[in-house]
Order: sequence, then C-alpha cells, then structure tokens
Amino acid sequence: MSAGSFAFFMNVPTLLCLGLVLAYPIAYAAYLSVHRVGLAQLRRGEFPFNGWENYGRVLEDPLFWVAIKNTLIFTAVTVSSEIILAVLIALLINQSGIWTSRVTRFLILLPYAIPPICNGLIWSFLYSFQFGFLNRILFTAGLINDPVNWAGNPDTALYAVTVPYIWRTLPFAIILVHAALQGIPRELYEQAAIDGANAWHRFRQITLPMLQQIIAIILILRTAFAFAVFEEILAITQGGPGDATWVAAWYSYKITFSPPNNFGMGSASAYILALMIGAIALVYMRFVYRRVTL
Amino acid sequence: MFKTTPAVRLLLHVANLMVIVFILLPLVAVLIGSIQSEKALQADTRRLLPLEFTLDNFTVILSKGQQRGRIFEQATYLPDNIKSFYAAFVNSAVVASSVTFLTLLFGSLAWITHLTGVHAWAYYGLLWVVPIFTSFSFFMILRQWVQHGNADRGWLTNTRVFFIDRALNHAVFPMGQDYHLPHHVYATVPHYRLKELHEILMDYPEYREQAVEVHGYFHSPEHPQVHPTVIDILGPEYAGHKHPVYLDHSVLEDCVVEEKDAIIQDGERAANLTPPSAG
Repeated sequence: MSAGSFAFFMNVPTLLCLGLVLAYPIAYAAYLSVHRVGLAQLRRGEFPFNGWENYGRVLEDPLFWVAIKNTLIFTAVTVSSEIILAVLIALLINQSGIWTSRVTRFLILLPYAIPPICNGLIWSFLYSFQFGFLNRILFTAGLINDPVNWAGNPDTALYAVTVPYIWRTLPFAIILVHAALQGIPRELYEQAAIDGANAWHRFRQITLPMLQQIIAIILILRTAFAFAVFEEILAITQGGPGDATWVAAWYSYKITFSPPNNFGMGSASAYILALMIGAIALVYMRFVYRRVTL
Repeated sequence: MFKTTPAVRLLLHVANLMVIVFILLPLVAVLIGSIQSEKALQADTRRLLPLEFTLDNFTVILSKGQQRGRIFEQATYLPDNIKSFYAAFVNSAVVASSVTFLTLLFGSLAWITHLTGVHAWAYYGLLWVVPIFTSFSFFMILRQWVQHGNADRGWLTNTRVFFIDRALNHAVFPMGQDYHLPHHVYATVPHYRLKELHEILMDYPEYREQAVEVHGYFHSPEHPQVHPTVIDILGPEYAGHKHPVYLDHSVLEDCVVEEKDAIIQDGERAANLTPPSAG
C-alpha cells in the first residue's frame, strides 16, 4: 500500500465521524434555511420550500445589522486586546529568572479550564449592580462614589462582555505565543547584544518578526471564535440592555428558539454568519498568513 | 541570558502580580460570594468582605436540597435541577475521563509511530478495535455457553473447571476463567488464586464428588479417557437437571437492597419452575 493510500485509509474513520457529527447538521441547517419552518409548520410536519425568502428577511432585519455591528466591535476589541496581551504576558512568563513569572506561568491556564457558561455566570456576579465585587473593589479603592451598572448600561455593556471573554480565551493565545518564543534561537539575541542592540531593538528586530506566524494563526482562530461568541452573552446580558449586546450568534439563537420559533430564519442567519467568518478567514489567509509564511 | 537591573526586576514582579490578580480576581470573588448569604451581600454593598460567613450554599447543593440550612429554610421553592447535582457531576467526570483517555491513547499511538516507525494505528485497529466488534462478542458468548451450557442450577454443578491446551485456554478462558467453579463458590477470591482454591476444595468430599473437571476441548488428552471434554459436557449425556436449585440469600442479607423480599420471592418462584430432576 502506498503512503498516500495508507494516509487516506487512516483518515476514513475520522471522515466518517466528522460526516456524522458535522456534515449532517450543516446540511440539515441548509435545508431548513430554504424552507418555511416555524411552530405552525413543526406542528403540521410540513416545511414548504420558500427559496431565498429567509435570507432576504434576515438581511432586511435592522436587528440583524445591529447584531453584526456589535459582533464586529466585539471581535475587534477582543482579538486586538488578546494579541497585545498575549505577546506581553508570554514575554513576561518567559522570564525564568523571575519567580513571580513562574507563578504566573503556573496559574495562566486556570481561566481556560472554566466552562464558558460558568465564566459568564462568574462575571455576571462580579458585575452585579446590586452586590457585585467589581463595584466593591472600586468603592474600597476610592475610585467611585456611586455603583456602576457595568452590564446594564447600553454604553458599557458590550465592552463589559468583552472582558470575561478575553479572560477565558487569553490563555490559549498566551500558550501559543510562549511556545513560539521558546523556539527562537538564543544565539540571535546574543549576537544582537554583541552588536549593541538594546532590549527594545531585540524585541522589534528579532522577537516580533519571529512571532509573526503564530500571531497570524491566533488572529485567524480568535477572529473566527469571537464572531461566534454566545455563552458570555447568554449568562451576563442576554443581549440587553435593549439591543446593546445582540451579537450574531445570539441573533440566530433568539430567532430560532424564541416564539414564534422561526427555524428557517435562524438557519439562514447562521449560514450568513458562517459565510462572513469564512470570508474573513480567506482574507486573513490571503493577506496575512501567506505573507508571513512565505 | 541578559542581566536585569533591580528596577526592571521590580517592574517585572509588579507586572506579574497584575496578571495574577487579573487571573484570580473573578475566582476569589466567586469564592467569597459562595460563603455569603444573599442578605449579607446586600446588607452593605460597599464593603469588600462581608462579615457573615456560611456554608449553607454548599450544604443545600451537596444535600440535593434536603438540608436547607439557615439561608434557605424559609425558601418555598428550590430549582428542581438541584437534585441532579451529582448526576451532572458524574456526567462531567465521564466526559472528562473519556477525553483524557482518548488523548492519552492517540498521543501514545502517535509517539509509538513517530519513535519506532511502526504503524501503531494499524495494529491498534486490527488487534483491538476490529476484535471488539467481531471476535470479542463471539468468544464472550462461547465462554458463557461452555461454562454454563447444559448445566443445572446446583451449588457445585452450575459450572465446571477446564483443563484445555494453552492456545484455546488463552482464547476462551483468559484471566482465570478456566477455574470457574471455585470462582462461583468464593466469588471474592482473585483470579490468580483460583487454581490454588480449586486444589484446596478438592480435599472436601462434597466438592470432589460433584465438581465437573473438563479435560480437552474437542478431543480428550487422556488415554483412557477419564474426564469429559467440552464437546462431551455440551452433549446429551450431560443434559438434565440432577441437583436441586441452590439459592444463596446471604449476599442480599449483607447489603442494603431495596425490595429485598421481592427479589428473594422472585428467585424462589423461578427455582420452583425449574424441574428438580430431569436426568
């Protein structure tokens, strides 16, 4: 058996499993998205074909565009923050001579072990207007005089939700950057030091270029995941106040599972979201990833 | 690699402390909240550490709502899913251990393949996955049939002891399954002591007279043949029920079992349906 055939043979079980757990729901959602599926149709068991009507209704819905705008803001804030913080914290925990860095390295994966929905509940408790610990800390530090309604104010709610998301997903980015940092040959730094480069120059001319590839990967992965944020929204704001934290995944969920349970429109909105993520991933691959890997 | 000045070291420590606080802050806040009553939390919303500490929140969850404690004693309603706490915990543990097992398994196979060049995946599939869905079931059923098929429900005649050649013994009776009668008599004896147990029990006349020793699977290795083969004991000569049904209720007496009497009655009813002597 040739190596290619053997590789194909070994991939068949995985392909079958993926086909069952991924392809079927994706195909079924595509079917639902071009049919009228609501409570009445579910009761009758008949889903009339309605072509692109669901897609049209989603695209004409002003709430969908609010959700897309919020999603873009959420993604931009979380992804840019995560990349900057990941590089800084990875550099920090890479300092093996500093004992607090070793403690940080030990603790860094802790948030990643918290289930997303629990993370949302934890931060919901932290932000609580009635008895939240964030306000207690700020009162104690003398930074505020009146309690702040972090998640209940339309101006701050979306940004308030970004922090828990960053808290939970940042370790993933830190670990990737830290692994990449450890792969940079020490000789490069020693050579640069002999040439008179200071710490900033070494970071600018050696570290950052060597991290470009991993940063591109983090950019692609985190953008895709941030676009699909759901659990933190569900636990902290449920889209509110008003429509301040309606994001794309929340839109699909509410359209589908709130009365009148429009499964057709929900599936269509999910497909539009998937297409957007796919398009952004393609742009990243074309203009960022290839550029740093070639 | 590079010498850092005390000022830089201090700065790095401060930066690390900030990161540690960011990581731990939500968890510490929740921990403090979990040992407070809602009333205490609301009493003074500006105090960092409320004064009242209680374990009632844990008690009510761990007792599945049975012990409400001081906080919840007046509560008229507790969410019904509180009763499912342990079941949910077990579900999570099952998922976590399955993922851990699969990670270790796939990691080990990948490492073996990487280090030795041997296609460990193929061997795993061929020698483990394929048998589980094919020959394993066959040998399990075959073993059960050979151990108990054609036997009555007597104390010492419900199963047998097998002396079979190595290859067949390994395929059909691994891990002490060949000494099945002593296992039935003393079920807590580990499989590697069953041979010794059988030899001790053979000193007792009742066991020696009733125990069926099977020598050989298809053909007897004895000349002249003294003991039956597997084929013999499954044949007409050994069919029938010569001994009374033996029921051991001591197992039920030692444990807390729901509907113990009903189980005993069921067993006795089934025993009475079995013909006492047909051979």
